[in-house]
Amino acid sequence: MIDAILQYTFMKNAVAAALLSSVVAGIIGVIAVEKRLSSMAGGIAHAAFGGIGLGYLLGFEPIWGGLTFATASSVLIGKLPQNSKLNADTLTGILWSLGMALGILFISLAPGYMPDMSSYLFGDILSVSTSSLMYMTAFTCVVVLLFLLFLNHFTLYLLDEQYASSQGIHTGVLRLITYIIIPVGIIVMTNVVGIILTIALMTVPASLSKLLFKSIGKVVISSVIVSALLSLGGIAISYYVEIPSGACIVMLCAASYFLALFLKKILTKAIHKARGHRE
Amino acid sequence: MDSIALRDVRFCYGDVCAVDNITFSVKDRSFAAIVGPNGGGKSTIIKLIAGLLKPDKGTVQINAGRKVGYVPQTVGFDRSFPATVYDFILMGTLPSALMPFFRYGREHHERAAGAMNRVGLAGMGTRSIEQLSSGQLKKTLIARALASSADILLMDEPDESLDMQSARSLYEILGSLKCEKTIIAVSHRMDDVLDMADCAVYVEHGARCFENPGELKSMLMNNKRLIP
Repeated sequence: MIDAILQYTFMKNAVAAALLSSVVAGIIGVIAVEKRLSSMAGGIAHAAFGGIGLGYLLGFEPIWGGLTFATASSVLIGKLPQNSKLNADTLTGILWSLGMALGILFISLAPGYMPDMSSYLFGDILSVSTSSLMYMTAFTCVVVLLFLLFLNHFTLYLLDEQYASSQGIHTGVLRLITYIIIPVGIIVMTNVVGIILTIALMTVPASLSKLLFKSIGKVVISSVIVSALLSLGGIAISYYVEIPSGACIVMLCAASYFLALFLKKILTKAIHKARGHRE
Repeated sequence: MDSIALRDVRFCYGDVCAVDNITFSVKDRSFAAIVGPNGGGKSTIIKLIAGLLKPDKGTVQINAGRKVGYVPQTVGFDRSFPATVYDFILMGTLPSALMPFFRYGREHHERAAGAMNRVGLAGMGTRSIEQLSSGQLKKTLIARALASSADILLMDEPDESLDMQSARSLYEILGSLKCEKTIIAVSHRMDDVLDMADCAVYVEHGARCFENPGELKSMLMNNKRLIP
């Protein structure tokens, strides 16, 4: 496989895309897991499909449409429930299905043959273009910069928003950052695992790292590394077995999480037993 | 000098008014106990003082330059959050203003370590917050408020879900803080809190202040109606 990476541009791009999306998945994964926003992130990812469809219909780069729809949905979910009686979960459900419905409608209205949308839905890391890599790099930089900008305040906001408010910390700004970096990150990950499978890459590395470490900094770094290992592992399996890369990555994510959970249980039991013997 | 003054405060959750006509003040470096029945509006008052709620009517005035430290009633965060006791307390030292790329300095670490020792958590800094007992968690919450260099400590049921011994140890800590900070504590353990308080406020939608907490204690024991 290393020969293939050195020889073929598409393999180089695939590895670069996997690494970029790992950085994003590590960061927004921790945010989504700690703020319990995983299902909201799923809704945002699916709402993006409406924008992708609009891009096809009107003839502009679909990913910009996806980014616009995802960001608008995210800000709407984050903002609306504060001022209305509408539940965030209900709104997420509506935007989730509305985005998919609009995407299908726009694509069906586009002139000519209906394009193959499977790379957007399920991801196709082996077909990431060099131009896609450019915007993925830019989006990743935005996510990293916004996350690091107020890192310590952001950590308190993730842990205990009420206490942060009582200390006069402007939680509105931190909330806005959250609702901006999640959709931007989702668009980066869409290239790797697609809209439908982004939740796995967002939740598994962060949840798995939480089993291993008890400091947020270590959890974020570990999430990035775990995400990179899982993505590259998925690409390798996909390359050798010739099965879709997105599905491979997600299956590897799920298997690793359950394995880590199982190992942690066994290890904890063994430690308790050893302590019991010592006492 | 008054640390906090509430004047004719009203706050409603939708159509239901939790508190109305609330007027009282608390002097600097004194211990005020807020007692009353469940649903009477005690926690609402604490949240109004903490700035987490805005009054529908009236004013909540905090003396200029006084910083408020809030110790909530229930743990409103996920205890599996990856943070050690020390990390948690250190977050109390964060400045209110959002400063780009802010990093903790020596002064912040000293404040966090001092607060941790003050509440008797020395040596527990590396423990995960998930592994703490209810009593240890309450102490951690108090240490975080102390680390913020708060002049006023707002405690919403600090002794809730604690056994007798843990509650006593907690009140010992509060007793040691009495002459340095203004403390306002809501509690159901009326004996403990009223014995320690310099003044008391009975809250049952409205409020009645007692300069002598013993007077309130005896009225409560005699089942006298406190708010007309």
